[in-house]
Amino acid sequence: MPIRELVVTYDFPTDLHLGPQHPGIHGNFAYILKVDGEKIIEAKIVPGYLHRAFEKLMERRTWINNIALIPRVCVPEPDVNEYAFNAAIERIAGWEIPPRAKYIRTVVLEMARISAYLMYLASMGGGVGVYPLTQWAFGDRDYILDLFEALTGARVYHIYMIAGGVRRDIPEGWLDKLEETLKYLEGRLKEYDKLVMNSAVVQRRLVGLAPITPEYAMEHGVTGPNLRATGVPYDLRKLDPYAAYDELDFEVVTEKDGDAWARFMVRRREIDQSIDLLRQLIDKLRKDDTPHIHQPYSGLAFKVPQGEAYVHIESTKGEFGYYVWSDGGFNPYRVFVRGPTTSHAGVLMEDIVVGQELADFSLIDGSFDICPPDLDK
Amino acid sequence: MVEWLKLVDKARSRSIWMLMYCTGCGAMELPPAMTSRFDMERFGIMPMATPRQADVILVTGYVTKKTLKRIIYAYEQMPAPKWVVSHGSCPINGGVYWDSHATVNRLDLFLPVDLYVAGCMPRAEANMKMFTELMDMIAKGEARGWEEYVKNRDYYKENQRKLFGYDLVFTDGRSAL
Amino acid sequence: MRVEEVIKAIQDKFGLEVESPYPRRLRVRIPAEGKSEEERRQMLRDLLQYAKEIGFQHMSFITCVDFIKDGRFELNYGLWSYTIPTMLVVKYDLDRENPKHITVVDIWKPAKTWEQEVHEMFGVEFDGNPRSFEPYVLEDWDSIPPLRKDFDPVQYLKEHPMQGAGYDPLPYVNLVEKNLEQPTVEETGGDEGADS
Repeated sequence: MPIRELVVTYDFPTDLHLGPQHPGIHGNFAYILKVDGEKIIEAKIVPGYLHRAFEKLMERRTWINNIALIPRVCVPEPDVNEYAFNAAIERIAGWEIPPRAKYIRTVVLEMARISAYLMYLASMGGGVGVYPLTQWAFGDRDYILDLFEALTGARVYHIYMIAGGVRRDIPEGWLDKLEETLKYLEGRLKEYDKLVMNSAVVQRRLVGLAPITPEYAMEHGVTGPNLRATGVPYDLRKLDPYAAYDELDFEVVTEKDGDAWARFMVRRREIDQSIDLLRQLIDKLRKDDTPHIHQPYSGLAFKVPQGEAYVHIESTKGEFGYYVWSDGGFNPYRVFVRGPTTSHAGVLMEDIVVGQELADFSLIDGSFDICPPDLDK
Repeated sequence: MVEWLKLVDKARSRSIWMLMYCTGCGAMELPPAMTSRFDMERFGIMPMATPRQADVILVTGYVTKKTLKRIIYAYEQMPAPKWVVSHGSCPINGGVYWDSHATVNRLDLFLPVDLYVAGCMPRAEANMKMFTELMDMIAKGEARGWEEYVKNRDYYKENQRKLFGYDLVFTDGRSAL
Repeated sequence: MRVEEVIKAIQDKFGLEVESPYPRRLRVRIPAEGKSEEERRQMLRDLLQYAKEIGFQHMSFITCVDFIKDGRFELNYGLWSYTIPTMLVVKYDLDRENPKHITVVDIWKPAKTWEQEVHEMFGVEFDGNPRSFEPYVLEDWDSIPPLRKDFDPVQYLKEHPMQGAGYDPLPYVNLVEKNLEQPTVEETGGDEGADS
């Protein structure tokens, strides 16, 4: 019997369970796809494999306990959680933080951005089959993690920012090390470009894959680099400045096509931007001699006055926000975590993959930087 | 016969394929261990996409009830000999999520754990140490969790039934294992 | 449109007081008194539709807070405008005993998953969004919605000893009988669990 006839005896369209144990899915996440041959005709997310009930646990812990708990909400870029939660506390309580604390926080956020983007480049390298990019990007990311370790004492979960500032000041000679690393990274990024720009494989796989327009993106709740890849200069660092971004000089990075290649390039160019921002911050930190923390509370168990505040910041995945309600007690009354993936996976991915080839699914998933922990919480 | 098995154990310890399943946040420190800086491939350790070709399953971090079910399915599809490494503080006793309604505090009630690595999360160096330790244990024939699982099958199955409220079965109706 | 114009427009059109607690943040509450349930729902939908027309392009979130002492759920709709740029949070109070509500998924597509989340975590029913009734992150859930204030996770773990083992020396299967080592209280973490 010819193979063709064997194949058509299958009942199409059929359900395909993709994940959670699948190398093409980023993180512990699953989709149920309805496929007709190679073509996807319907997609549905299956979240919850990483659900730890952060929002419930935070109600049961004191404010300072929570600062140690929350970095775990977003694993590739934990510092956005620390910043947003602490900024929400400071906003409710009306505490002003000293400029040096702002600068140090911004340095940490930008370093986390570089580290998360390098990870993105690495995973895309794996997705298109350019494995040197994976090896290089993860190797270079470790230099950032080493700097984090010297600054905060930990590689991944830093727990460095606390309400009022940061836990400790920058150690002696650390800024020089940061400068060296930035110089090294700049040289390396040129090598990355040679590897990617000249690669026919990368171009063929990414150019024109799953393009979106700005209107479509905003309709589906797309934020962050995915939105900027459609050509609109919407960056919360510019529009709703937090930390020290209002004192820094930068242009929002955009790409016009909105396809996977544009999403890749936005992130690649934002690494350059982050390096530039870090250099500006190094200059500012060298001139600045204010304290690194202003702690208007004493002890470990403090109260936050009654109130509510929403703080959102620009993470590498998109808009990351914390809505904190306080009833004036030792614990938060309620904390809501707004992760970008809830819209990206649940609304965008379910729509954009319809009509795409099954073989491209993993790349589309990767190019939007779907990161399940902030959906599951 | 026994001498021959020792040689087999030695050979096995040098070609560990780990299942590529990021069950939790500890998986974040695996890529640095896999890639150029630490390079675990020099020990013959490779990530493997399918459970049916994998030797070791890393439970990287907290185990939610929903994930544990998939871990058990994956574990039972793996061919013996197979090993379970509990990675991070959370599968030991719950870690920071000890009072969460979604996570399972103790992994060893449901699967035979051969090796624990503490830390939140364990550093890449700890991962390398974990792999060398596991290799030593396999070479010496100490990591026998898969035999325990067969021997105490009723115990593990009862615990799993008590946790999920029903027996885990494959879709074709065959009972798991 | 500028922020002052937005405040004035909502005041003129809906007669609602818009407060601005922080820079680039606006809050507006649909009043609970003096109107029927249908009128309030219609007002919410009109307001969300209007906000979309005047330039709030992005639905950031929908979330819920359980004010158990007041006997109400407070739904929060967060809308962000890239052009103004401002966040508008629309607050809507629901009866806690009978949390039935109407969907906005036909106006805002991202509401699909947010409503699903609120339904699972608080038990609020969104009429018109069939997706919101499906399970979301929880599997085989057998208790009240977990983010309600009267849900106690420690009590839940006591009722599910296999899951909570390790937190407390709970009566799980006697390990000695099964030819395995008996863990001591120190190993299981004692009363307080282990945060290390």
